[in-house]
Amino acid sequence: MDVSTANTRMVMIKTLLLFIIFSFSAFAEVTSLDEGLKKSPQLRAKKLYREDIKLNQGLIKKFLSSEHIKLSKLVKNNESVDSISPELQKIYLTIYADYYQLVLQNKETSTQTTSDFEDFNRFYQFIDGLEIKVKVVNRIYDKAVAHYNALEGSVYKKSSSLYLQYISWQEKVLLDNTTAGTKHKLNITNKVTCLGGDLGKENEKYHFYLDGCAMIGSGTVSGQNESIYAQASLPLMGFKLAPGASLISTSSRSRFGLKFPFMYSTQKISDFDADGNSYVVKKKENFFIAAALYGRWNFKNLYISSELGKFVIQQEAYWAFGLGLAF
Amino acid sequence: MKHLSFLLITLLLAYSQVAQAYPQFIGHGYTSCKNCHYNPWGGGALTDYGRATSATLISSRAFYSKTMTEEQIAQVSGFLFRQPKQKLVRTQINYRGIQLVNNPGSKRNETKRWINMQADARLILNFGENNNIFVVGNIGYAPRPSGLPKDADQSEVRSREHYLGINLTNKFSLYAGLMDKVYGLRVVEHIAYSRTFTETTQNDQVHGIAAQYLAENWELGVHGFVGNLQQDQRVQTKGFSLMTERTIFSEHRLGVSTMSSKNEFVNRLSYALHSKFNLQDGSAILAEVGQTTTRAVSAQEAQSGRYALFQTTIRPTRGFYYLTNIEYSNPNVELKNYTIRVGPGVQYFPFQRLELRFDIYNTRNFNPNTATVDAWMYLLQTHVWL
Repeated sequence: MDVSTANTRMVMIKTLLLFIIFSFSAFAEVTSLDEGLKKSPQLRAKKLYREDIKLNQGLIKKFLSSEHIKLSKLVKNNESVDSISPELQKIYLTIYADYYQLVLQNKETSTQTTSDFEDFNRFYQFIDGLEIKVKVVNRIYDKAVAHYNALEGSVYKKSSSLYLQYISWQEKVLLDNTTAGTKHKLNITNKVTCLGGDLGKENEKYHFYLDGCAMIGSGTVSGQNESIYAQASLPLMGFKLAPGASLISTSSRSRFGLKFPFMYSTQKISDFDADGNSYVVKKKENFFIAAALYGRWNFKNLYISSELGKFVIQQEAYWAFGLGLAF
Repeated sequence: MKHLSFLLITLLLAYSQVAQAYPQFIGHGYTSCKNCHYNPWGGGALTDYGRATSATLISSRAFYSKTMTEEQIAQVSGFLFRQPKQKLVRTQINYRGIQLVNNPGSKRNETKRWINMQADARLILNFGENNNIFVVGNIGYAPRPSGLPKDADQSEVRSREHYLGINLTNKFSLYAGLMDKVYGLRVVEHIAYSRTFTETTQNDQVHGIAAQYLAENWELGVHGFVGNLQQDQRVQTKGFSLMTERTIFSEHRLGVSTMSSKNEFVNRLSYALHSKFNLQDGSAILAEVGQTTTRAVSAQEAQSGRYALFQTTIRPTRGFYYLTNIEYSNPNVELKNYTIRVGPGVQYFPFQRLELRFDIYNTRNFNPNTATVDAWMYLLQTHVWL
């Protein structure tokens, strides 16, 4: 065992001993119900909610056990409660408020967080059955549930999906007519099918991911202003990689956000001769970087997605629609 | 000459505008339009319930104090922020203006213009127990089409709806007067191919009689019409339409429509399949695919065109919607040319009576032999209702 582990264990043991001694002393010193009820606010002022729960549980056990047992039976049997002594009612509400504070104190998920919420929930079921201060009790319950759900929802979990996309984009090709010394532009409208998936992390609100797909398709080529060249179904293969982030907006986990695709295409146009002129391809991009708006609409595990973006350098547009399966 | 007249008249009528129907609100659980609109297929005058819903469910409450309850917000959703004290008369004013930018960023081709698309005044009279009988009237400004000759006789004032409605039973209603044709998804986007192909845009209302049977899980609408009697008799479109929808999987809707119409120039037959999917919390998907076959009276051959609309909506927070329109258009199915238009947009209702919307549209033509440059369009829309 190394030194740091030994020290950690010692600290834990000391803390536990102190807690036991304090808890015991918190109740052991109490000799009357009034004294206990006076002591409770002091513990709460010091935010010692666990100790306060123990104190109040002890008070019930020592001074109010018969009434408590009777009420517990009524609640268990779903029978109506006619009356509760003011002291016991005060103690119940104090314990409930203590459990609520313990839930609120948790700022991240852990076994302690889950345990505290389960304790709170159990006590809520009991106090709800007593029907005391119903509005206040329910309002506190709603807040505790919201806090717990927010903590649970903030936890990032792995996400993945498979998808099939239809992608289309335009690009420009610059040509030099080396015979006439003129410059020309070609347009290409591409459409491809892209099969791939994404991997990432998501919680209740946000989704961060990297997606990628392999694409195959073709493009139609023609001159932008004159009919110097035209070709249908110019083939291409390639891939798309896109990091992205989305805001998850609904209980169906539909989302929208931004992604930044990087695309590579194998498409080529060779130099050519036409009408006695020689044309040389001066610029044909094979790498594209884009910024895109992304939306995804879920039907349980199935989803439909859309993207609309612009290439950073060429300023041409690309868009995509897809069908996916999330895991 | 006949064709020239047709062209001119078509041009007069083609400048369609935005209707006010939001079928995407199935995302809030509304499968039928009848709760919120006097017209049970959507659009036009809002009911008191519709106004309250727009105030409390659709619009943001960011500008209201935290102490103001939803009931209090609903109470000021009436005309000029007043709670109606009688049930006989309802008045409404509606304005839509749009900043249209074509080819944004292009030094040569960028054009910008502000269009006052709609400025309507409405009067609704309610009679009978539970307002079973009602009369809806509307009159308003309609801009002259931009390509219209200056000397053309085109009024800038028109009525887009005036009709009598009777709820004969809880399920069966009859309507008579000037109304939108009963067909497909009545989406708000006036330039949608699903509306232009079928001539169901903002100024395509017709006089006629419509009936609706609204059951718990399905509805049926039929509409017989004789054209818009305010128009030139030669373009008055006579015919009928039918639309039925059924709830599927307890919260989504699937529907079919058909419409047959003719005027002195053209016979037209349209049919469509549409769906509305509720993705919860205000998010939804709308889809419509259809075909229209048009035959000029003077010609022997007919031409069929196909269209598709796919509209998605996400509501990240109350009052704010992210939309995407994906549309397909093929005016002649015998040719391989088609167009796809993609348009993401945002829609914001900062408080009741105000809608702000921004859309981007990218339009791409697909032709086996040529690659034409994309068209871009930005739209910034302001919608105010009092």
